[in-house]
Amino acid sequence: MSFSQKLAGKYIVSQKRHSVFTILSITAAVLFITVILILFASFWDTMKNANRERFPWHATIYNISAEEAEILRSSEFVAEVEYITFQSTSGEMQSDTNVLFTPDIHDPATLIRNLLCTPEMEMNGEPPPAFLINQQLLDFELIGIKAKANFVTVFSVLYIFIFIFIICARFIIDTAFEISSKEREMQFGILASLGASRKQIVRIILWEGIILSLVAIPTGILLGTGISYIIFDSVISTDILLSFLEVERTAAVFSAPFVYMAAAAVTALIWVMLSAYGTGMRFAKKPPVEVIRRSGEKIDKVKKSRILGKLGGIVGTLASRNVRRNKKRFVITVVSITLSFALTVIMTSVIDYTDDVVKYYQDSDEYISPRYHYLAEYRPNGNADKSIFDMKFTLEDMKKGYELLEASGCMVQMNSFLSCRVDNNDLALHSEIADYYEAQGFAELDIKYYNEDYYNYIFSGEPPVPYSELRGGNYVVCNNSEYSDCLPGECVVDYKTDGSFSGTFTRYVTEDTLRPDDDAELIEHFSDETGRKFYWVSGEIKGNIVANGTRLNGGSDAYTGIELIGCEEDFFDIAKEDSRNLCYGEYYMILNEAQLRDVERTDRAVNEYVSGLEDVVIWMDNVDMLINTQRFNRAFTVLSVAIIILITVIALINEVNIISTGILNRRREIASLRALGMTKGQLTGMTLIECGSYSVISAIATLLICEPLALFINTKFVTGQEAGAPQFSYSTPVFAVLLILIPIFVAGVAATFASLSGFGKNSISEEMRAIE
Amino acid sequence: MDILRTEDLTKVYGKGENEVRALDGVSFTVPEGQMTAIIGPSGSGKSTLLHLIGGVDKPTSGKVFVNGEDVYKQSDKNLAVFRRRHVGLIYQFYNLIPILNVKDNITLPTLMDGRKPDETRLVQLAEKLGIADRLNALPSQLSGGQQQRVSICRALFSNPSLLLADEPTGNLDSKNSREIIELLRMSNKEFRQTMLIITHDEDIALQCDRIIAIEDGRIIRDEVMK
Ligand SMILES: Nc1ncnc2c1ncn2[C@@H]1O[C@H](COP(=O)(O)OP(=O)(O)O)[C@@H](O)[C@H]1O
Ligand SMILES: [Mg+2]
Repeated sequence: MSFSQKLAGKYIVSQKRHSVFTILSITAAVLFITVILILFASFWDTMKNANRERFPWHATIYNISAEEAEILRSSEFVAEVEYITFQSTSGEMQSDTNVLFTPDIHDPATLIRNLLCTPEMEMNGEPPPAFLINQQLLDFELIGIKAKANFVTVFSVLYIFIFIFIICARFIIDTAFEISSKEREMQFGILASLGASRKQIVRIILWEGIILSLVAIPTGILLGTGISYIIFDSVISTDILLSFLEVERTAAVFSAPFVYMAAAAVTALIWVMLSAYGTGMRFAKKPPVEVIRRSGEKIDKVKKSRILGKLGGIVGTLASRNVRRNKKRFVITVVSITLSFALTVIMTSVIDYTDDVVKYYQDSDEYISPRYHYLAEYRPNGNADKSIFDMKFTLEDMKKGYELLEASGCMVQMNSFLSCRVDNNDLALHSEIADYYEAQGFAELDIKYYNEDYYNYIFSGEPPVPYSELRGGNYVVCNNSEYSDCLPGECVVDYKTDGSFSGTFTRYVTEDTLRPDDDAELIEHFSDETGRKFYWVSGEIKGNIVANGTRLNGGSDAYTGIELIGCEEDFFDIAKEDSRNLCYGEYYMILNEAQLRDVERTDRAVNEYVSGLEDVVIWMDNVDMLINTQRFNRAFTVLSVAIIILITVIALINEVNIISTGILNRRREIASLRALGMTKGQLTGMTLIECGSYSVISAIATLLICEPLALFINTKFVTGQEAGAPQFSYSTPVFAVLLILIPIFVAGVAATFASLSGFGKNSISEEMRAIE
Repeated sequence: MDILRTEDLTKVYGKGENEVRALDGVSFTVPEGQMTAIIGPSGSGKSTLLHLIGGVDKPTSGKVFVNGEDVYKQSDKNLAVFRRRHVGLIYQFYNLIPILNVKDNITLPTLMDGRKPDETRLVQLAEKLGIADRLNALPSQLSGGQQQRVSICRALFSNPSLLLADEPTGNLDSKNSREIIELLRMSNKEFRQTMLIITHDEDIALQCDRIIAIEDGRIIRDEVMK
């Protein structure tokens, strides 16, 4: 055993506290890297598995002969061939050839062409055989040059993540070494004056790192693997994979490849070496006498801190000077705390913002509008397979469907509207609206008849007139908030509401349902495959406009941008006159707030209920989208929180160590202070002020950083979006910052007391001697 | 033959207003086997001079020759080798390695040199210095006088060309001081060890072959006694 190994071993044993801390630090570093690598490997293998389950071959070649399949089989790059013949619907014999390639193939497409295209075929201008490459499977199995290129791309994106973790790891390890060696600086100085070369000093620290790594790295890998398994398992159990990647739970495989573990170990070992080397070199570069004389900790300038001096008297002054005596250490601590603060603050805003954005796009999309959560259809009496124009609904049928769906517990609205042709003169709409309609080539308005629930819902409980006032042919003119910018908005406001209107409503009917008294207009372009013609028939409708309003809840028809709203009973009155084709048997189903609170359970209940009903189908389920969005947000939140916790923990570790070693390094000095008559209370006060200044300065730095950062995010990523899109709203989270201040301060205090506790045991003179 | 020669040795600490000329153009030579006392008021630059000779500091200007070789012309690595083979340093505060026992402390420079320590020499030397029965103790288990004996033993063990002692008795009572000086004189006689001793104690200085007095970084007196 060389003397450097021997010394390293002795240091480890004699400085247990530091050794344990260094082991913990290396373990944490290895753990972080292991977790991210193993999660990557597991998701990769899961995707590979899922793709294999979907289609287990690398390529399929269509309609080649058995001989050609043999040619494929004999290639060194082909591992397996499956040749299947079958009869097509038109009676021809056809073949599918499924192929698996060997891992060392360069480009599957080129190989197939090279093998199956003879020069004669080329001369005769025969096309090469058609084939399909299962690139996804190749990608995940890393076969072929494209897959390898793809892997590099994916991995380099992932590397940004890994990089953050690795840098964090480096930071942790380096601090550990810096701290544990700093305490022995003087001893290194003595060694140097006895003739230890730079190399030898570096080697002592290196050996120490290696010995500690022997414990720390396997521990880190084991813990990391365990934690990855827990994370992976809980992600799988949320069905996030299923929703976003369409991967079945059964395809999920946890894989912890040895290479990745080795990579984590090697990275950590390199960091340990670099840290040990860097630390060793720092000491070795100074002339030994400087280190022995303890002039390493140079205090060139001591500024007075008036605030702390005023607040804490001599104790405050001492504390403020202590905080400043080692700038590097101070900066490291403050930066890491600030970083975790700032990340927390920004992440919180980002989570809110993504939530808003998702909601916004959900709202603006016609199909996933929260206007309704399900679109259900009721098609009784053999209507199930008929086209919408052939269906025969009675009013009773429609009411029946309505009752059935209402029993599901949802708010239900019949999709019942009349298209109303408006006579511009009769309808006392503002002339600008009329002009707008004319310019757009529209001459009609939608009239919608809502039930009370739904009526209140679209105005978010603040309807322009109570529902009861609509009864008896009264209507509300309503512009849809989403499309108000295509209307001169103020004209709606100016609009006099006391006019009455009359118009013609229209509907489509087929020839055979046309009645003699219908004033029918043939619309040719509606004729279907069998050549049936469609007619546009109209009827009279009269009403009074009693109010105007703006729809508050959700988007609506892109077709008009304006609608008349009447009440359900009036609809039934009109429908009585002519019940055919007014009813589609379509129902919007809307969840109320209570149901939305536990949307997953509600969704299950509704689907279960509806599946038990005959003649009712849900053919548009917006709730799935909603659930997925919620899950995504949840996953994003969990990930962000995990990263924040990680960085906070690193900051805490650094803080605790810096504070406690700061105290331990100054044992002699503190002992002198006590010899001069400083009480334990004063001593505690002094160190508490030190901890406090870390927290306070970091908090201030956070606030100073976050404001510009939020501005940056807004100008860089948010502006330039369409008008009306949600803004990244950042409000200075003074409260949140104060909240994180607490653990930081508490950790500091705990570290202080832990390090000071040893002082009581020794007498002051022992304490002063201990250093020599 | 001169074992040590300094040429115009100067050391300046700090810059501008804070500039301190700790050593200002010191030149002298020491022949082999001479025991030299360096005296002077506190802050006069004695320690600085000793450190520069011992290769543990860097001069601002000037040169140090040991055995005819320019000490600070060497690479860092060779400087380390120089320290472990040619110089034995004794400090006022012993500077032992607290985690190593006495034996390991003494043999450390040899171990660092990659050589096997000579056990018989260790025992002989330890017996002479009166610490033979404490070889397995840790420094913290020794008295100040014993610790200083260990540090002298460490300095003598590799048989260096130069023994440099910075107030070796400054921290000891008069009985221990006398014993330590006896030991140093004994090794000077017995091994023809060249020595430079910084001291405030006139008695000690008078026992030396030569006294160099320093003030404000300059040699103000240089007397050969015998
Ligand atoms: N690292 C240093 N930085 C600045 N000044 C120093 C340093 N070391 C010593 N000095 C100054 O150099 C002068 C000589 O110091 P030193 O050689 O230790 O004196 P002595 O050993 O004679 O008491 C003193 O004025 C001292 O303040
Ligand atoms: Mg001195």
